[in-house]
Amino acid sequence: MLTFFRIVKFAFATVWRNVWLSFATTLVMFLALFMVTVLILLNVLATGALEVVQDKVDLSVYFVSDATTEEVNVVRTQLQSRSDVNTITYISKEQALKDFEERHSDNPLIQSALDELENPLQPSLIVKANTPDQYSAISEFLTSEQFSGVIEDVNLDDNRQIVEKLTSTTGILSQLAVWVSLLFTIIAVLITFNTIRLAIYTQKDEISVMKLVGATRTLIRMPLVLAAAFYAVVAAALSTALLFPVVNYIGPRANAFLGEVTVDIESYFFDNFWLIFLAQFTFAVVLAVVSSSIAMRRYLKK
Amino acid sequence: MAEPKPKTTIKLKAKDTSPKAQKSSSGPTVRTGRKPRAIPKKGEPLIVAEYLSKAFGKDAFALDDVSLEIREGEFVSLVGRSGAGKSTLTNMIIGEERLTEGRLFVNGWNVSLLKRRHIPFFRRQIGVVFQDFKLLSRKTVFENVAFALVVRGAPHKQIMEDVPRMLALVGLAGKEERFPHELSGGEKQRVAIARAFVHRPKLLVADEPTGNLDALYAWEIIEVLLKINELGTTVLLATHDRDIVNRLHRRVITLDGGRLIRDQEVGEYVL
Repeated sequence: MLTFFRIVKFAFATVWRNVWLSFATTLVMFLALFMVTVLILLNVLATGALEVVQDKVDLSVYFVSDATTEEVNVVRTQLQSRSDVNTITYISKEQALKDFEERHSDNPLIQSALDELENPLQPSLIVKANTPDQYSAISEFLTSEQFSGVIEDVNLDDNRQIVEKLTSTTGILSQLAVWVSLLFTIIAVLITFNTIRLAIYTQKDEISVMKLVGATRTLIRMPLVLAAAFYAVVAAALSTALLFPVVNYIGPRANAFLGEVTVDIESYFFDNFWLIFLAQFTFAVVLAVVSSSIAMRRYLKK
Repeated sequence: MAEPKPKTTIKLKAKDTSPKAQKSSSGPTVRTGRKPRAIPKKGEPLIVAEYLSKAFGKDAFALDDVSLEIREGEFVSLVGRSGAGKSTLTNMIIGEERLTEGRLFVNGWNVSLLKRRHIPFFRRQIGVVFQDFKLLSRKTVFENVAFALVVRGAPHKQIMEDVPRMLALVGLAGKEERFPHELSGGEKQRVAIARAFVHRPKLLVADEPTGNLDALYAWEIIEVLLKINELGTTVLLATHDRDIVNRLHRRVITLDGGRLIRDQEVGEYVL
């Protein structure tokens, strides 16, 4: 216990008496951590945006005007049995008219035309697939011979092509983001490792003197490892603290940029706050402890 | 970590001076294990070197076939020109350098067989002073001296009592809170001596302790070493300072070209 307290005391003395080195090491670790975390958050933002965009694609199945509810239900049941279909929404003739009127409530011309006509709209099904690339197969299935008497038209959303392009582009971007994040993580690890190695290097003479006086490896190593862990804790705390204003700044602007597509990065951050902090904390502490242990090994062996 | 315990004890026969007999001799009463036995009586061998050699390459020897014995309570000067092998021998004695041939026993430890993990425990039983002081630059004077007790797991109370006493002995009372860079060369060496002696070792090895000091400071350091020797600690002083050796009138061992060429009970610097 006495040795433990002395180790802790020596660790804090190391931090305090090398204040500039401690500051520089903590700063580098903080920047490395912050960079990687921001990249991961941007990844979350991009993935969320992609999901929202993908969710906007659907397939509309328009039935002939005189199609009965039973005929619609047959198609519906067959669609439900398909594994690539996610959801099916039925819109009756009456519902379709109501929605149309609501959409054009500010257009008196359309309103007066509708008053004079009998309901010209058809019953329909809105089909959502699991992934955008499954729409073609569903469309082919619905346009087959067996439904020709019931289904008048199968209409993929006008945005489908744009969305498909976006999907493939975003897919590439997502993969790229993963690789970039990985690359930056490696850079962050190397920078942190070298910073700590440099910090230990400045102590190499002290290490050799301690050995000459008869200090055990534990008494030499542990204060320096603890000091490195302390830098890591402070760096993780600083990084998490700075994420608050960054997320507050990025969140609304990202949503404004994406228009209708809204991804709540702020909620994501606050919902996963402890996870983010703990992940940074663990990453930084493990890195610091491993780096300092490796860096010290050569001086302890001499 | 618990202090290592002794493993075996080797009893030696009466010393035979013939080289053959010396070759077969197993040295003084020593343990190849860890903890030294009960304190030996005054005058017992503290350092026994048998045919010590340190080779660099095939034919280059830093130390060549050196045998000597230093007893408890002695003050021995180890002299010789630069490159004579003084530092090699002192480094071997403190377990900092491995020997190529021969056997070396220090304070009951067989240094030739010393394992790396036992070195800290061995070092805690001797005191070492270097020419370049080797102080911990980021620790105060008090902390530097206290560190020698901390590594031994000494309690706080003992540290608070022994360190000021030791600093007073070397004439540094009142300078406890200074850092090494705030001290003169002589003061730094006094701190180093205080650190080497605070745990009252049986052996203090001083390798050129006056090498970086002017004559006045140098003799002050020697006086501190003499005071320590009077308290019962064996002092091995490696130096090439002729004046100091001649003023001491103590035992002088002379090395030249890695070989022991002279061993005088009350000697002078003759080279």
